[in-house]
Amino acid sequence: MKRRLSFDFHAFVRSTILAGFIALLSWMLNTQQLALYINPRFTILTEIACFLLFLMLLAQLVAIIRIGRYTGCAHSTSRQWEYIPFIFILLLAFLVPSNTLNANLVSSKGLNSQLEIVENSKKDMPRPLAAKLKKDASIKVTDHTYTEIISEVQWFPEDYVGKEITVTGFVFKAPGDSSKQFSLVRYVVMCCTADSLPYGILCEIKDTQEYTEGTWLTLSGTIAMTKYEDKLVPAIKVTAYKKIEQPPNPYVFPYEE
Amino acid sequence: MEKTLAVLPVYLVNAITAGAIDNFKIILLSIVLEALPFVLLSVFVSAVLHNFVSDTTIQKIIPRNKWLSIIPATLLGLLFPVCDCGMVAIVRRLVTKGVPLHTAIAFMLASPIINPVVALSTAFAFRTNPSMVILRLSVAFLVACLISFFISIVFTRSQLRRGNSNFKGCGCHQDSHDLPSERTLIAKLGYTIRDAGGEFFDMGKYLIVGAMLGAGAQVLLPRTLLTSVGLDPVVSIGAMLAFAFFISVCSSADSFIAASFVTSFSPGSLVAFMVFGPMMDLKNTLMLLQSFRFRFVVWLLLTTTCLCAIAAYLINLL
Repeated sequence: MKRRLSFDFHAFVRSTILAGFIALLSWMLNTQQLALYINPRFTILTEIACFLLFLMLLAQLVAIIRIGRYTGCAHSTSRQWEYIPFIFILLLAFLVPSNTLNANLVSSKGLNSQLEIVENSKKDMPRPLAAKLKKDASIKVTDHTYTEIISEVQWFPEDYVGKEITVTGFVFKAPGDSSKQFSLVRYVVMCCTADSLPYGILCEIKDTQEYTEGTWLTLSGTIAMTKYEDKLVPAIKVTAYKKIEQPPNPYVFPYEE
Repeated sequence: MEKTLAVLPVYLVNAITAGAIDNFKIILLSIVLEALPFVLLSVFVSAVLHNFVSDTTIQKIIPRNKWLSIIPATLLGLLFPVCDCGMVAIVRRLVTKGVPLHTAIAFMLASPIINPVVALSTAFAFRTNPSMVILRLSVAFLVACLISFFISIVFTRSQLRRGNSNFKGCGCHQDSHDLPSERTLIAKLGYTIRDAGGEFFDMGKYLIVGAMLGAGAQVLLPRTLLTSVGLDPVVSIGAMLAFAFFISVCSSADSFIAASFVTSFSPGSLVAFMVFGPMMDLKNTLMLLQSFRFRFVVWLLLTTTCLCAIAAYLINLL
């Protein structure tokens, strides 16, 4: 066997892909973008992933150029098309501008308030916030309390009718909404946005024409029962509202301290 | 239901909009970002097993008796809480190292469900209905045990695909069984990283393709297609099994999705969703097809589906 320099194409492509993934993960970690995709409590796992990818990159880099006996084995019989999925992900991540889940998905995921509630499943509901909420004359919904307060109002409206409430979310118009109705919605994310669930509450306003779906609003109003598709459902009668920019943390990560 | 199916093609065409493409990108990337650390960890575990633990050691640990090896294998997740995303790499390694197929598959099916993280998150999601936790864990245990038992009867050989690309080594670095012990520690670490890298590329592409299909299904298929059949004791089970197969979410998050359906779906179908999803989903099936024979993967998929459906039906009867 002749001694000569040999170039390993597979090791070269693999190094490039690994470097690409390391760049992607570090970029997301450094720009706080990770929270647009996965729950921040998994950040440590992404850091570990970065480290492991780095080790793999080192192993591939030393394999690109070899001096000496070349046995003709490229450490892999991978066909070249097999790299396409990796390259596709990297291009998608870097070239398509980052965004957040938009109102488009609410209808295919199904809004919490449109699910039917079976009466007997209500009696065992734990209601950690109920005692405090019942006392307060006005309720301010934060990211941390979002899921619990919205389900409280949805499931036990009788306890809250007449109270003031302030919520932030984006506008979603369901096919059944009248021109004066829309839902104010947030996506609730457990692990990653693939498991996100749209959580919202019906709102009634004098005129919804000027609000396109997806507009972020902070609104306040009184909780009241209203008629929706022949049923009585809880809703917010809006008294004041303000258009806002999409918040830096558009998703609600529930049960986070 | 029929009405929803009839309008589906029209719906699909209308659903492909700029907004849908944005959402597709976000969901796809989020599945990949969430699963990546688990896949990386498991290819490293697999490579460490390969380079540091000899086949004879592994074969010595595993009890000869069928049930004595199956039952501990299903409970191993209690000690090592693993995610289903990376299981295939480890299972494939175990089988090449001589672990009986039924033992390895018992571990693969049960441990993403029977582990403390998943038990806690399920308990949290179903605070109103703690019996769901017990149902989920016990159905998972039974299904995993039964399938392993069937495997031990039906399949005698390893069922690994021949020519597993770079996995079994190409002969040029003498990846024979006895060699690792003669290497120095540094060399072993080097080989571990190299093997992990090879396996990452082997598995990663299927993870990505699976995530693409899953994200597509989430963006394009309306959930009303599901909810329209929710309370039917039989159809709801089929719908939830298909749903679990396609959406490919983590076993610690799927209980929250199931809980969001608690008022509109039969309890059996929700248990089926939470048992079947971690055992078999689109990306795992693709990764299994890469490692095991086609016939075996199809058999495994069908048997798991049937057993989960039967369990769910029995729960609905209660």
